[in-house]
Amino acid sequence: MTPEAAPAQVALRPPEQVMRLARLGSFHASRLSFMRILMRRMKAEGWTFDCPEFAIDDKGVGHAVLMARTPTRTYALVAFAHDLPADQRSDRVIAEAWDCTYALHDGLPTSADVERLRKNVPFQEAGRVSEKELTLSRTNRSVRMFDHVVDRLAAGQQPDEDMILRVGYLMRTTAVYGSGKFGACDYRAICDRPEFAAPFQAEMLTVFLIRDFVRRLAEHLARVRGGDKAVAISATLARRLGIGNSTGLGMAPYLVNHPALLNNWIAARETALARVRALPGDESGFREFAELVARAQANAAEWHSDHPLQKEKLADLRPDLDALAAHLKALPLTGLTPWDDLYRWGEAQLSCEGQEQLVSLMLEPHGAIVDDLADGMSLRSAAPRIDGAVSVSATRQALEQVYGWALKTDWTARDEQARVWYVSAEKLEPRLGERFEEPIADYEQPLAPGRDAAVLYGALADWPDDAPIADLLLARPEHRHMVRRIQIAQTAPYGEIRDNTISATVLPIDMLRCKLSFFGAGHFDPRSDRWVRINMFQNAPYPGELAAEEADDWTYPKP
Amino acid sequence: MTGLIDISISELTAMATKAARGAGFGWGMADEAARATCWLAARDLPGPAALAELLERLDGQPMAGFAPLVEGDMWSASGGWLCPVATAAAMLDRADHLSKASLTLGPTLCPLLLRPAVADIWPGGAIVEPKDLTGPKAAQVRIAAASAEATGLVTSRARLAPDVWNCLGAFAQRTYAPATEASRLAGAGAGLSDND
Repeated sequence: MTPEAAPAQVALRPPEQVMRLARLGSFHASRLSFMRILMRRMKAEGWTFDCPEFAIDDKGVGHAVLMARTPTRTYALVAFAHDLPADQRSDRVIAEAWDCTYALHDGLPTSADVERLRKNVPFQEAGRVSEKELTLSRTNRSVRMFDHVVDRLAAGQQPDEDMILRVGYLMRTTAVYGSGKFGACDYRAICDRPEFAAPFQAEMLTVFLIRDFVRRLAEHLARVRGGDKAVAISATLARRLGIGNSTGLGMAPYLVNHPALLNNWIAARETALARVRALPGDESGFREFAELVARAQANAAEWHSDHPLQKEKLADLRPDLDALAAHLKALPLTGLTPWDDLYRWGEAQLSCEGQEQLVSLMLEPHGAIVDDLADGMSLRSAAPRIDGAVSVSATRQALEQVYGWALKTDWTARDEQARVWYVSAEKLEPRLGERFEEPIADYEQPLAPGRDAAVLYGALADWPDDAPIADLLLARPEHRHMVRRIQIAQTAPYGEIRDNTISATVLPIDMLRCKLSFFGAGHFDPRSDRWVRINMFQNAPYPGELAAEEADDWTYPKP
Repeated sequence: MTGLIDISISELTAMATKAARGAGFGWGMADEAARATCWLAARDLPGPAALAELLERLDGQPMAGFAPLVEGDMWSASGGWLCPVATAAAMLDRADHLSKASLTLGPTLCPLLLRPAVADIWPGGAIVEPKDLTGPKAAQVRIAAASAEATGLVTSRARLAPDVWNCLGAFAQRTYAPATEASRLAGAGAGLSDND
């Protein structure tokens, strides 16, 4: 869409409002989530799917190849199934064995490719893939769910629907490595392909194909056990199964380390909201919206978590959605911008969790003015070089504008600097530790931009206003990363989190949820303050159903 | 060529950043070191070997002595040898001003690492001395108007000798905290069984 033709919009919500951790930690999936973008493209382009190889034995050990064919290219999920003893099944990134392991291969794999991958993919981080692979991943069974489904299908029965709703998946991933990891192809080498224009599309395609493979594997094992008695899982129940995911701390630094990219994600969603808020009302649009809200109510009812923080949020979300449904019934559809009125009502009446649910819901019926924003969510070029000619006073002003909160924080207080982000020598796992209790400060990663902004601001006091920042950087190179950040923030205002990422009260799950919501995940279920389980592609069509079914209406299940 | 390992540029970026940090650079300067290393490696130039060489030479010494004294068109280091990463950063920070002039540097370590900055700042300029940039030291480096030496095709892969990768890895290792049982359980926030 050309700029001239861009839809009208109200003012964007300011970064100071949006980029707070509590709000980012209340984000929900939306039309602009990466799974949704992928599904729309696959449907629009008529991708086809097939499974040319399924060489899995009676014990569930072997390999399979699942193909996705775009109009011009072919991608293949090469899947390896293993016999994993229960004592080795771990959610942690430090695990060394998995139930199934995968690579997404660029093109049609030869048998030599499969053999090469067989020697590497099962070992994950300890193996190597090549530039012909786009991702590397693994899944573990939800043991009780997987066994239950196989047992039932083997006996000729369908699995228990309540149990499926409670767990939501047969297997969960503990990592989907993309862009250049462990030898794989760099994103920059494929970002010109339209199917990878949006972020994380290769990773999402991997999970989409894994979901299909896992269903095939369960049905295969049921046939082995039940013979002629065995049945396939019903299409309806199969839809209810997504792929779970366990995400630890590793994802949190990503948001801090990629400010320009984060800005593009948030700016797309905020622009979408601003466009919808500028729309005039129409009766049928609101009726449809009310139906969507009813589906969101059902979705919230199905969303379980045992974690006190999420229980509290769900205890807000459910009555919020009830209030929204009631409000829509009572709403007189007058006024020039009823969608804006609705948003403002939400801001006044709903919890943060409810407000962000409302935002995602408001985008839902408005693909025509929202979906083009997906094109701007990637980052295809490296950050420009630092502009050393910028003056000390301009840098000071920029810090005051973006990091005002951090300049007011008392960084000598222990609670404000209580935590340290570091990487453990053990399998390079990212961790969060206690600065004043563990010997880890020397290993601190640069993930506390608020504190670093305050330190830079202090250093600027020694320099004349009109001095170029290049002079400070020459004398004090330790400020270089922060100067780069503050310069990036001038064009990427949504790239900086406006909260303390090392305080005693920081909740890393807020950062995880923000990123996972952009993936398109649902049913966030924190297992601690730094570890969350989610469900991906739940209720979405399977590859084989895509041609005949609606591809983009599954975030909120239909009754 | 056999014996070389094939890695992605993003792996090299991560490794070079950590290695430079492990050798004592600040994070922002480590980022510059990684950018230069990858620019070279993506053009099949031995950037990773130059970085490994540089880090070994700088290891354990105060960095300030290797920073340039920026004076006119002749820069040198107070401690005798210029660090090419610090020098390239100072050049990039003065790009607008420098691009119209020529520049001479005093004794410089691993001058190959200057080349990405020169290519960025002087579209019509190049390092005219020394002719061979791949050595560990140059007595003098002259940057002047000249047609830049053509580079190979830009790829997203790097091929480098295992000893170079291992050397960078050893420096990177210094950025990792030794694991303890307490950090294993609390640090990542998970210690539960996955058998549910």
